[in-house]
Amino acid sequence: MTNTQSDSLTDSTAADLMLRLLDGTVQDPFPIYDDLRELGDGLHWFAPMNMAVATRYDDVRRIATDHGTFSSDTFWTSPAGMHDPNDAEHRRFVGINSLEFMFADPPKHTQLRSTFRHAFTPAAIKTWRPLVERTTDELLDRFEPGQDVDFVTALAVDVPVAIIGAILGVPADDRKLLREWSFSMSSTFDPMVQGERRDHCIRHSLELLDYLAEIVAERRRHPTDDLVSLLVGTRTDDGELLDDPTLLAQLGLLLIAGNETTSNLLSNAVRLLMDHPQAADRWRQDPTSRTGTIEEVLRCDPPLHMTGRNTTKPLRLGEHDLEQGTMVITLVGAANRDPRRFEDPDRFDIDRTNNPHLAFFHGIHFCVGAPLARLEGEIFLTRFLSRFPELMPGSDHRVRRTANLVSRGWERLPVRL
Amino acid sequence: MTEHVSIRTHPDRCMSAGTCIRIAPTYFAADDDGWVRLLRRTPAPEDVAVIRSAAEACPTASIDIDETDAPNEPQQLHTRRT
Repeated sequence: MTNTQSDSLTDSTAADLMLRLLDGTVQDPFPIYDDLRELGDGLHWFAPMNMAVATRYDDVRRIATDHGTFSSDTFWTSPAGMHDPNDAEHRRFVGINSLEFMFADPPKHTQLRSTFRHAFTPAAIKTWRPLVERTTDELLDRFEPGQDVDFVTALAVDVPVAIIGAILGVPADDRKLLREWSFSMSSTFDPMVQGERRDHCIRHSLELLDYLAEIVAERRRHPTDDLVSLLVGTRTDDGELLDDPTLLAQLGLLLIAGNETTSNLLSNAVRLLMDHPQAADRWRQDPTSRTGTIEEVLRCDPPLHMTGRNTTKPLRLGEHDLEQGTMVITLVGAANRDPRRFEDPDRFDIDRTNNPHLAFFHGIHFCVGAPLARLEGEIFLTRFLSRFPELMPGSDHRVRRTANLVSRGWERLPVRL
Repeated sequence: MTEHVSIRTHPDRCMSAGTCIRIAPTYFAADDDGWVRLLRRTPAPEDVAVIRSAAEACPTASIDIDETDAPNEPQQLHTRRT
């Protein structure tokens, strides 16, 4: 590939920006996203990691839509697949996890997803409303107006796991365990978790999978009306029932995917609503403002900032020739603020009527749990904001999570209730 | 030249993102399961732009817009397919 001088300048500027993003200390990644998106054509090659980066809305959507060219079969080349091949327990863990349907392409993906589609109909999710309301109230009962707390540790990390635990039929006493297991399992997706820490996370996550296996076995013997019973009994569009490892992989995925992301959603929402008190008041007074508010939180500060695909053939992306099997990173955080798509993109505007953000991604891998995330967000924020009408930022500093580049939320978000 | 526009939805592909309902609530709703339900197949001329942005915004490509010069052409296209 021949580069003109200005091209190589663009390449090295992009590489510098990527290195700053990857160094794990940047509090606010959005200015870097802006620079990457507006540099050259917004499609960059990052030689140190042998990967391409897409930043603009149209490019990210095009990549998401063209799942034949940009494959999700990335498990073994992603951090999630990192393991010690000489360790039988490690092999057992990645053997199960590699079956998660987010890492599958059609036709496997279509088949696995069809079971979730039946389980996650919006109508089914509506039946969980009372459960979400009750669980939220129990968690909020522990706090009084005027109290100073860290929203993240006090509430954001507890709410989604309690809800998903209740949906999975896990006894309330085991929820703390579920949260710790879930944390270990999400850590296996983090490239920074290596060596002894990875070994611990893998062994700890296996305890979770074994625990879920017991629930599955129990529901096979005595089906109830809960989600596990539904998944155990739901046939794929091909008429097959899921085998145990496949089912366990999806349940594990459900837990971790629905957990940290929803915690991020709640923290990001509370942060934005504290910084825009008029939007918080609108939420309290005008129920019709709530949907738009959640969508705008998802656009401005998506729970997941990036995702990756592997090219299935040699292709040209912008100015770059990519070999087959090249990782292409799509920066959702950058695309959601692309001024070509969103007017005044840095403005938090809950009245946007056309807001096709990519927080849940796009195409066949569109987040299957999106309706549940929205339900949790709506119920939690309504109850939280009404119980604490004087909600304001706490006196301590906020700290954004920096080490995990994909899942960005807050490490610490002090609030006065 | 009269432009004829008609809308088709694919509930089997729908993932209930809700984007179309937010953009064009007089055209799109949810069925009993929560998947997309088309309320009006033929948009008023002044609504075509908004219908187009709803179709474009759908994350699972569950909305198609058929545009032809003559109203009977979509049927002909279908019958020609073997």
